[in-house]
Amino acid sequence: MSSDSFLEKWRNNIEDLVGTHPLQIISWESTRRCNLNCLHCGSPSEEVELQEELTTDEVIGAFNQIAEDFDMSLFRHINITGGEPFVRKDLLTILEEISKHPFYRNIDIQTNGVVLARNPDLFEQLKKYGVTGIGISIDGIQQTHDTFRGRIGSYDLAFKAAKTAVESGLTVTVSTVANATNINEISQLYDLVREEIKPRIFRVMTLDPIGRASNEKYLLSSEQTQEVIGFLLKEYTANCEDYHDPKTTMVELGCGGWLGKDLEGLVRPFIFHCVAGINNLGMLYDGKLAACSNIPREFGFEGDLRKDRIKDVWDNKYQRYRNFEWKKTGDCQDCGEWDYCHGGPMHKRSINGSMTDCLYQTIANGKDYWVCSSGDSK
Amino acid sequence: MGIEKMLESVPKEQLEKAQVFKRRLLAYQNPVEFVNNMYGCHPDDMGGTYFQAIYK
Repeated sequence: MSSDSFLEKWRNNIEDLVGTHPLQIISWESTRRCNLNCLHCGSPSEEVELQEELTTDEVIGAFNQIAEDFDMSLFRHINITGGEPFVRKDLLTILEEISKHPFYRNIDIQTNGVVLARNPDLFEQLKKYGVTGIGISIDGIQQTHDTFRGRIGSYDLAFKAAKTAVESGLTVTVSTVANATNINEISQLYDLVREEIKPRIFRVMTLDPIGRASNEKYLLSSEQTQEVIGFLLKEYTANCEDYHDPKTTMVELGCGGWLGKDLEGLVRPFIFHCVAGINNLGMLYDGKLAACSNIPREFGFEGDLRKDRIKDVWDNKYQRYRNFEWKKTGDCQDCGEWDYCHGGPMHKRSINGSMTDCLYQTIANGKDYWVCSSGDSK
Repeated sequence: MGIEKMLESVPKEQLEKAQVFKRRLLAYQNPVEFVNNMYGCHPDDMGGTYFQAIYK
């Protein structure tokens, strides 16, 4: 089979998935509250009304409702995000309750590690309640990380939490948001993390200008973005033949977008396609139903679990996530990659269809989205 | 730099090996088996089936 045939097979599989859109991932934004005040936070608490947070019973009720209404035979996992999930005092109660369902026993939690480092006994309880993966953000070597997090000592806590999570047998992802102020440390951080924490995944994401991260001083230039991707390409190609071994640390580029037919599949252990609203349901802190908790709230919602039946919303809304043509504007209009990326990740789209940036255009054509004034009209 | 130059910077033998794995990724039954959302981390990979299928 030629390379083109493999790509076509993959594209056909994506189109089938879009057509059937089975619910496979629930991305639950557990809270917008946080015990840190990170400079680059994409979901800052000041943007929302915190008293609207779902109650314990509402959360458990929503997961029970999904279990009752959906075909769960294809369901894969729950991804818990925030804010900081561990500031919810009822997190364990919720996990204990929902993990009684056999298909809710593959749960991962994205955390800054502060609470976990101080309460290592939590790991055993988390495992008991179906948690299999922990993601911990470390955004640079000690001083850089602490500056970002707005608290001295947060690096040590994150490091300790990640290390203890690995020792507890959990699948650990260490995530780093690459930005203009830490780009020179990424390689050093990777070596340190791989040697001392030994997580399964070292994930690098390029900074998106949402939330507090809109500050221009953090945004990557096209050359810096190429440098980050170049680093991942080098590491992936050098070590990927060992990725079958669960003790190996894999590198991956987060879901910043499609990298083009030639480069995609060479910097991460998957081929990227945005799954928002296709197999991924976003359940936000206040019960709004979205497609992914990373999509800015200005983009709007598909429903509200306080008013709507989740299955009705999943079956009858989400059309803008499953019909891609409305995104075919600006750089996408005549792009030869369209048939595979379908306009890239939804968190980079504004409600009028324009996109904030495209990694493929940045890498292939050196397009510098942040030097110009706005979106893809430049 | 451009994609072509990026790929040229990788030793030929390593690139060829990675291309084999890429074809397996493209052919995998569930095309988004391992994709997660941006904030997310990865859960357990169901006993390593995926990684055995792609990288072994």
